[in-house]
Amino acid sequence: MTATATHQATTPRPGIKRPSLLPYVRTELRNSLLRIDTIIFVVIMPLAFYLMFGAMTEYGDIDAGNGTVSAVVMVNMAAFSTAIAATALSGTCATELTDGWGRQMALSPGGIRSYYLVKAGSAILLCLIPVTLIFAAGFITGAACDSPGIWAASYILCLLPAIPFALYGMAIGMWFPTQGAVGTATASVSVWAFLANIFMPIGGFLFTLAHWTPLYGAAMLAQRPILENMVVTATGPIDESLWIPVVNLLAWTLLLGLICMVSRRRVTLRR
Amino acid sequence: MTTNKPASNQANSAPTQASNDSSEARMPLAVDVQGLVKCFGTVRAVDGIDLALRPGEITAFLGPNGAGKSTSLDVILGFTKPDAGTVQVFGHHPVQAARKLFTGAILQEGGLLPDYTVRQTVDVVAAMRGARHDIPAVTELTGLSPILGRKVSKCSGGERQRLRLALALLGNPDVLVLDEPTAGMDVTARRLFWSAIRERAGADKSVLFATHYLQEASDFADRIVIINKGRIVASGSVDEVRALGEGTIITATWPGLDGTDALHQALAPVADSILTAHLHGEHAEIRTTKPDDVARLLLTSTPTHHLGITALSLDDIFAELVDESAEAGPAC
Repeated sequence: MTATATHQATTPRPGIKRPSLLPYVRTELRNSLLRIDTIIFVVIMPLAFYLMFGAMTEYGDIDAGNGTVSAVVMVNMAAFSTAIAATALSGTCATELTDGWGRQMALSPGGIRSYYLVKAGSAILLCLIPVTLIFAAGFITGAACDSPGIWAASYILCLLPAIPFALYGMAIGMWFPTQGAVGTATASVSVWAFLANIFMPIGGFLFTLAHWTPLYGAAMLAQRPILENMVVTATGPIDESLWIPVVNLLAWTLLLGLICMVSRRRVTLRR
Repeated sequence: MTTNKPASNQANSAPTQASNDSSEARMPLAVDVQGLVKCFGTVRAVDGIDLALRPGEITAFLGPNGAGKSTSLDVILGFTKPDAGTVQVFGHHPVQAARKLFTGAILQEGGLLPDYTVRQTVDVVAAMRGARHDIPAVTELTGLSPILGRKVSKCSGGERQRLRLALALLGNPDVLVLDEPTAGMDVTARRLFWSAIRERAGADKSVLFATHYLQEASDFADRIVIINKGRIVASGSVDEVRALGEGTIITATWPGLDGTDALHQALAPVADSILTAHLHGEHAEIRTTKPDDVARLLLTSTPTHHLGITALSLDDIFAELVDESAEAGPAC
């Protein structure tokens, strides 16, 4: 009986075309961008911060490594916007999964993996929007890097915070799957940004603590094309080796990834 | 086109209400569940269930809350792994069957994105299932066309349920698994819902739906499987299940009657029609196949009064079956 049934089922099903993830990515991006909290947190806030702390300051034109101070602020705010965008989008992802959408997604040829692909793709595209806007604003308002290569490297490295913070949003969403919790998670990115030394130079105990926080590694790596080994603290610039931000980024990615893996079962269970 | 469904023709000509499965063992089954056991902690939510769904059949999975219906459906859909037993959907592992779109499902609660419009939801799921060409037919059939632009969060319960049905139908799956699909619908909405399923499912699809409404099961299913405490307590066609509750119930007050034995003695002239006879104090309850004869006997030759005659309803049968199987299964 099993043999005949298997034979029957292995022939291709009629009327089914190639599945496509593009409509989902497009809809997801469109809906995210139409949400007022996305516009404020992901686009307006980082852009405004750049204009206030970068473009419109007297110290903005001072040379800093391979660029100007306003270029560093531009990179900082772009990295901040990436972290926020990634947290917001992946947080909704966990909410949706626990709410039964994951079961719906499992009943498709790509299964739940397709869903993660859609969300990751949408998150990267969403991050590109504020990063591009901030870089455009920087270019127009006179933020300068010494070469096109440094512009390009900075632009790409600004997307790094998306990795740990996509996992961060997802982990929080898995454990507290409410829209409110996701909003809180998104807002909490500001705290991490402060501790990542990207709003203003911090020093002393706070700067020591900063090395253990989730945005520090990714943000400092984004500054590297311009500042190289230099890190600006409250008490002046210091030298910091490359391994410190790299280890921070890897450790947080690993830790948050592990939390997501462990919590994954919560998602497809019926509630 | 027909090469992948040789089963359907056989199924159409075969009798569908047979409760003895051995004669159909050669026919490929849409869903084949054998010895399914699923535990949660020390509780056996599903305790050894066998289930055979043939193409073309609508089967109702009937049971009270917590009987193990949803858990069984979860295993068939590949969401949960069984602790023992096997499940095959057209000969496939449930997860593979879901990937190949053999299964479509309406899931309990949730399963929709509140921020999306109806159109966006249908569009996205259709694209992921590779069934975008199917969108016009499905939205038409489920009556979603007028509300395509509405946000899911603004839809009523019935509208959401129709949207869930549309998602389940996309890609034309061979097995529809519906978990309490009409919960919260009024009678008209329920009827429309089922006529849409009947129209789409046609002769070669099978539908398995969980419900705790007996009326819904008998109105829309070809076959009823009654489950309680994780075990099947009865299965068969609607008529077969009805026949399980053979007879009519006669109740009467009978002063001075001394025990059930005396009751049986008094009923001796009509003994061959008596199915059961119980005495609770002065209250006698007699189940019989010849209610007229018993009533005549009681009214003419005994001191009984307050005689009542009631036909056995499906609800009584259901209650009886569920009651009989009430002892708990072994712990896990």
